[in-house]
Amino acid sequence: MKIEIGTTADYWCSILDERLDSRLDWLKAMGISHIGYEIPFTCTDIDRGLQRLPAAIDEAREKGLAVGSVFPQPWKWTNEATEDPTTVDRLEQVIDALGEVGVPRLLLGCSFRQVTAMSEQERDAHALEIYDNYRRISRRAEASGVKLCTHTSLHEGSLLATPEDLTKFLQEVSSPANGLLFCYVCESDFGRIDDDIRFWKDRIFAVHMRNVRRTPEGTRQMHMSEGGDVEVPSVLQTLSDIGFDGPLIPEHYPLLPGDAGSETATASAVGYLQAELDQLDRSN
Amino acid sequence: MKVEVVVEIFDEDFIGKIAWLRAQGVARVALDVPLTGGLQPSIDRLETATREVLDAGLQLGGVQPPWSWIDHAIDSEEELAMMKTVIEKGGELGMDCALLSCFRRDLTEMSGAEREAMAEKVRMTYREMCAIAGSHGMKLATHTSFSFFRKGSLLDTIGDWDRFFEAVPDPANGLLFCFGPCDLMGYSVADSIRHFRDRIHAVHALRELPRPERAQPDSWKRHLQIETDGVKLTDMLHLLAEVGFDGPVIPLHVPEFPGPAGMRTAEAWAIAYLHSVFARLG
Repeated sequence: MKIEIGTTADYWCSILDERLDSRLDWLKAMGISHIGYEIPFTCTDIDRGLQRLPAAIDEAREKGLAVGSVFPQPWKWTNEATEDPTTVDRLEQVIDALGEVGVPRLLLGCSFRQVTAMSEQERDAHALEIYDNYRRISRRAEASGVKLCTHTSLHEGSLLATPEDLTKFLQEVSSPANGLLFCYVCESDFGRIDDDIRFWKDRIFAVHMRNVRRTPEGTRQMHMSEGGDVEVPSVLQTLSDIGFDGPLIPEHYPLLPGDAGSETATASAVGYLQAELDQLDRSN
Repeated sequence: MKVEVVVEIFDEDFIGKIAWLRAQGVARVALDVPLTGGLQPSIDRLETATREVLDAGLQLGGVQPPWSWIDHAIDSEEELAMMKTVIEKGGELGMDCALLSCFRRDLTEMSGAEREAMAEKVRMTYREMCAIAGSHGMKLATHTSFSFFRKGSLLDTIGDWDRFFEAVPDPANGLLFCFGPCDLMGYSVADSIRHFRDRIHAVHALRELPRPERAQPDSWKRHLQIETDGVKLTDMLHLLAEVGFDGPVIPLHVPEFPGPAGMRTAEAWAIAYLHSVFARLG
């Protein structure tokens, strides 16, 4: 397992961002070896993004950083695809580009549309659209050697609202290129995290790392080092047990005064995870 | 074990730093008293800073007189008295440890008699400081500088330290055990921890140790990421727990990360790292 992090303190920055060079230096100084890039793929920006990608990868490589994943913007691509079918064409362009430059993972959001108010016919059509789009990009991903990592958002009322929905999704789109960006904090029942990791073990391609405390007033983001409702060491141990060797991607930090860019929160997450990985090595 | 961070009492953003440390989950703060501007202003500020720490919901850890003070104060009763006053005041205010630099003056030019006289003066000073500390339930933690950067002093080797503890056996007398100089001297850090055991009163923690060929005085700020031949902070912290150490671990010599929040990001990294290890140690 390795820590992989976006190129800016607020998780990700576009490869078009002028802060990129200083962010790469900062991440390297922190001991990071793998990073993720955000790339725009809207109609107006995709050409600039794809043209910039090879140079941005070279710039990272020159600093000793490997680009492990790309995060296309907009995040809610499945919604975009309903409105504009050319969205899938552009996503295929991104996948082709990743294959050419050797970036192994594409991180994707999925299915934020509410289906509870839909008729059964509408719901089936929505599901069919999503599965068909995924089958299409999965074929492209297989050909390009890219893994699709769909975020396990589990939005209530959406097509993928429960772990069972995700399992059905993985069965419907069974391509080995189709897998999960497993975000354990999105589970409604933290007690099943370890079981779900074991159940999906070959389909987890990346993991979002964070912790929260759920209270009647709402969910509070926590530093992982503070603890929280999730036993993060247990999650890491289970990932180690199943032989997971993908990226651990810290995100969603607590907001601190004077840390508008979340730089210290990012450093805290990385320090915590590095110690956890050191201790996993020690115990193994 | 607990994370303790040293904060200078005259830091312009002292309250902000304390609040920031609390937000990082740090529970204990040691106060560095540089004595700039004289003794009384420093003591006054120490009292105020102590209240500010407690008001912020943090615990008091150690008190740190000016670093390397003993090297020049040893010739001056007045300056030695100032150092003792800082320790005593720290004890009165509820601090539980005095974090001290090691006496490292080069004595190679001295005759045998002069050297022995100096050694006895250091030992006497420590006996007095132990008495002050003991009367307040405090411990002394003297930095294990050894002699990597400067040879010819009194506490250059493990054997020197053993003789020092024989001469000043007070249980308040102990070490601020720092992995770096120990490794640079060619000592096994693990064996040294087992050797000193109960004499270790505080620890300067580094995740990775510098290699001797890279070690320069300013490299102390840069070696969090330097690979080593096998000495790992996690292993050493587990070993400290095994030998019964339950004192403060001070993340020090963190690298300066680039960017506007440089040192704070480095400190956040180190603090979180230690919290992870301590959580696993229970």
